[in-house]
Amino acid sequence: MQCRDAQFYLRLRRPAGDELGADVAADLDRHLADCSMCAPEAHAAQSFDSAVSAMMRSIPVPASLRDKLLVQASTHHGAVIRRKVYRLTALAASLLLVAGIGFGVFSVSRPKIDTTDMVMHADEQLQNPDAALSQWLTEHKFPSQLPLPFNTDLLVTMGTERVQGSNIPVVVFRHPTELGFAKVYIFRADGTTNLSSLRDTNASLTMASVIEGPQYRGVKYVIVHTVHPVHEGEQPLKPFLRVPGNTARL
Amino acid sequence: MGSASGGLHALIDAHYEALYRYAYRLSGSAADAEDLTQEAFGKAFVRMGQLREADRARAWLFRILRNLYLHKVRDDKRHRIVPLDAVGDLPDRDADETPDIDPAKLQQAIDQLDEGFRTPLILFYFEEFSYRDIAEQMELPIGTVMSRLARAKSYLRTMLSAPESVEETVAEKRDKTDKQDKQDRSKDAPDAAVRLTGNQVT
Repeated sequence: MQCRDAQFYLRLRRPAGDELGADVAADLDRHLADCSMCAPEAHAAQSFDSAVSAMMRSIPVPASLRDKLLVQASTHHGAVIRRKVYRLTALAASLLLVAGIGFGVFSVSRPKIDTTDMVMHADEQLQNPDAALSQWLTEHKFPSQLPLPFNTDLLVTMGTERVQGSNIPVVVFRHPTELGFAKVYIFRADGTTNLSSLRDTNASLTMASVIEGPQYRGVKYVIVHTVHPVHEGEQPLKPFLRVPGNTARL
Repeated sequence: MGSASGGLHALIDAHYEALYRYAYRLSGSAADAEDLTQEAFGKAFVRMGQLREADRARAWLFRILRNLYLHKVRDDKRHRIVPLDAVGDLPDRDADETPDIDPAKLQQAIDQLDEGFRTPLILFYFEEFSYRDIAEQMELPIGTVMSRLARAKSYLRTMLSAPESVEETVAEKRDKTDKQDKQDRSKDAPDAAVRLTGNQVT
């Protein structure tokens, strides 16, 4: 290492620690050990750096500064807390407002149950059951008449019933004199349900009859009814059907 | 709540003295140093989320403070800066002499340095930052920092060990540069200034 390089590196040598790197520091130390001109310079530089370093940091810090900073920190912290509280309050108010509006909309839009309407509807069904049944079938886009001439004086309900996972429209008739019923389930053959297993079936007290045909416009009827004694050759559903010739209701 | 507040208090206790001393050396004034320290902590509190590593807090605070200082003195033309090209013309000091550092003289010499030289010099003698740290603080290549340090230290050694006549020589050079600056400005030649600033040395 030349004296000129040594002078440069001496200026960069740290008062504490050495960042020149091991190689440069070793070269510098070797040079200083042999060079009578640079060695005193190195010593002087070290002394100078130590003296300046100590003096550089020898500054009295005002006694009040720490307290001022702590007050500043507390003020800032309080402001942060206040901001958080404001934000949370605003958020809660917003949520409350949205919930209120939502509830209001829900309250206005939800269906209102009216007993007067229910009674009038029941009256209409009693006074003119044929028209009520026909209207109900039409509203559900079924043929306006059932496939058999049921006695609508025996009509009990028109609605839906949960059948094996599906809501199926059904019209229910009662037996005129005994404890029994006939339910007319109406299936739409639109592929939403698999109707391939529908067939006539008998049980001890009830039986099911399937009625289908092109005249029913893609609708299949399954009539589940209680079994009652009838004369031989008569329709098992006879108790529920209108007496032939009696067209008073039709 | 308590822990967040405690974190700020711990930050203050760990760094406020070093930060104040740095501010004092940068500004040369106790009042400015106190203002800068408070402003730096104020900014740090707000930006606390940006501090990813706790062990880098001091470097982060120093950087905030320096930026505040630079912002403050950006348009301050009153600051008299000594041209560092004068250093080479000054007589070398006696190598065997261990200087008796005069605090006022030290601050005066620091004050006369361009900030680009002053900051690395202060950070070097604070002994807390590596060359790499200083380079990061100043956003400069490490070679530039080392070069500036070598020149600034030469200047400082000359100034602190120089007799009055040398200081007068430096003062004369500074005045001469000031006059030249004024003449250049009057000629509407902003780039004619010969003052050696931090951005010109690499």
